[in-house]
Amino acid sequence: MTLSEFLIPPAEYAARRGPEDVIVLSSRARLARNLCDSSFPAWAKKPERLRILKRISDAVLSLPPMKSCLLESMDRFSSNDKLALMERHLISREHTARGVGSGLAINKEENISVMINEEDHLRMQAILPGFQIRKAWERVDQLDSELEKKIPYAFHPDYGYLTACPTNLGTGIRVSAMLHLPGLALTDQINQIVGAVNKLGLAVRGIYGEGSEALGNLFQASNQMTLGETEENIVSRLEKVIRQVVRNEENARQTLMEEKGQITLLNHVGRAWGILSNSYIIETRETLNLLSFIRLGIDLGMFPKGKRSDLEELFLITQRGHLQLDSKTKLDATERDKARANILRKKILKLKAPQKAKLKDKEEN
Amino acid sequence: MICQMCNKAEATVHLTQVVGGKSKKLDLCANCAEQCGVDDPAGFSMIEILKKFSGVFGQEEEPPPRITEKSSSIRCPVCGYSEQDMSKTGRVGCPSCYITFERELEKALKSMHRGTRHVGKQPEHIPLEPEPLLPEEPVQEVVPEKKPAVRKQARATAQKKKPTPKEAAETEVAEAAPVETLAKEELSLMRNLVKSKEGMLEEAIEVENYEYAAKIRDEIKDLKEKIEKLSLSAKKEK
Repeated sequence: MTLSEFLIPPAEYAARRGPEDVIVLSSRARLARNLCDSSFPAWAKKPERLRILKRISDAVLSLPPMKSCLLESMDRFSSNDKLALMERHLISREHTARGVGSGLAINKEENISVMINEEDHLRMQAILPGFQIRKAWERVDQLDSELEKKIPYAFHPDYGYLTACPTNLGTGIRVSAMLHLPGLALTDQINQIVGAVNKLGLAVRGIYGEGSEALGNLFQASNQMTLGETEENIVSRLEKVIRQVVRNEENARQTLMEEKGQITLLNHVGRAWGILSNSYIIETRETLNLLSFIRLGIDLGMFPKGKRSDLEELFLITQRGHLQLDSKTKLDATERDKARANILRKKILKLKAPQKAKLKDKEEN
Repeated sequence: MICQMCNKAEATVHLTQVVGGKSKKLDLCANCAEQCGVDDPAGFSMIEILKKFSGVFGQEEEPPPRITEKSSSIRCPVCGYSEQDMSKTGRVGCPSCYITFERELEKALKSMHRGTRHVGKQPEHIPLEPEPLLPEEPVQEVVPEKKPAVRKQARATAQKKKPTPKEAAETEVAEAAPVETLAKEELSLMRNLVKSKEGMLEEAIEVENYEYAAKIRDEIKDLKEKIEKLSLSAKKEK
């Protein structure tokens, strides 16, 4: 089975809904775990890594939630497949560079993925649409409790779960949410908000996590510290902060809509529409940044024909990995930019030019 | 210049990176470069590519670690990871490294995290072998005077309180045996430890890792003092 046959079709994937998913696109919780009797992946030699992969694979396969999952060694994926997996946030950027001796398991619903021999022996995550951090944590917690019956974890009473990097020590948990914040960007508040969130001990990163830039006004907020605090504390703190950021974004959008003539909004959304519906060659970066404004326009009712799920599908299928997932011949950079522009032109033209957003009565807080 | 990977197309991507202290060059064509993910800095590892044609570069599979290598730094007795490796990568080599480099790590942990003691989830099913983490260096774990207060506190604040195999074993012994047997038990444990430490000391001296040797020597000294005290008090009780 090829990867594109296993993956949920983009249209179906984009149609998944979750609570408060206008601003919070997805929520994730991941746990880092290691075997007690092996060196960490970066230090273990190849035969040891292969043994670890086998052991963990067997254990993962025996878990009920991972029945009929996709389990593969990373060398079985093409570089393009790996990109597509990253675009769906099923693997990390770091894992796209892995080959023999590393592996991946994904369940059918694509809400659980287990990376084997990434930085740690085990990185398991639950990812859910919308604002459901706690649920994601509960999911992955459950998986972890099942798995610990089969695998002897490296655990120390003082230091907790032992990890390859001391920054993950203790709970080994990272909970995060993907936020779409065009309102804060357009009202020049984004840096201030990011700074404030950082001060609370949380990290704000770009769309693909560590080391990636903020494209398309997408930001990933996550906890940074893992030791000396319970999972419960970490989860509820992140929840609180995200709720606050969401409120700020909502207020920023309201401000933009109340502006005289909605000039800023119309200008940005209109330009984005104009470029996307008239391009013949377009890069990923530009696409993501412009699609962000189209999405904002849809959120605010500026495109009566626009559906958020269509936009989300576009967002997915215009990215590099997905763009080539079905095409049999490998495309070079220019060919990709042309193919991307072709898809976008057709879909965005259908939306028709944006209209003024209708003012709604401000909701009570 | 021809691409070093496919040996066909013209190389247009030229990479230079320091790998293992030596500067390595790599010339690739646009296609091969893309395949390796060169344009994606985080998803790309030059070492991985170099490994693919180790013939060309004479690159070894992985840097030779292990304790037999002569070095002046402290090495983890289980996996051979050195302090230098740690400061270079910011990571450790294996679970036991957390014990080997405990002192160095404590400082770093303070600046990294909210606390330096774990609270939160604990595995309910702890591996069968007692203390698999510390195959060679279980000193801190056994010596009761060392820091039981901190340890107990950490456990008490933890959410799910489950006895570790060690704790379980300790309470078992304590319940089953009167005080003298307990002391005897402890004495023999500590004597065994001294023996294994002496073995490690010899090995460390052999590989001229004197810093590590000195550390072990001090630990042995401490242990011996404790043994003496314990056996004295045991005699008194008799």
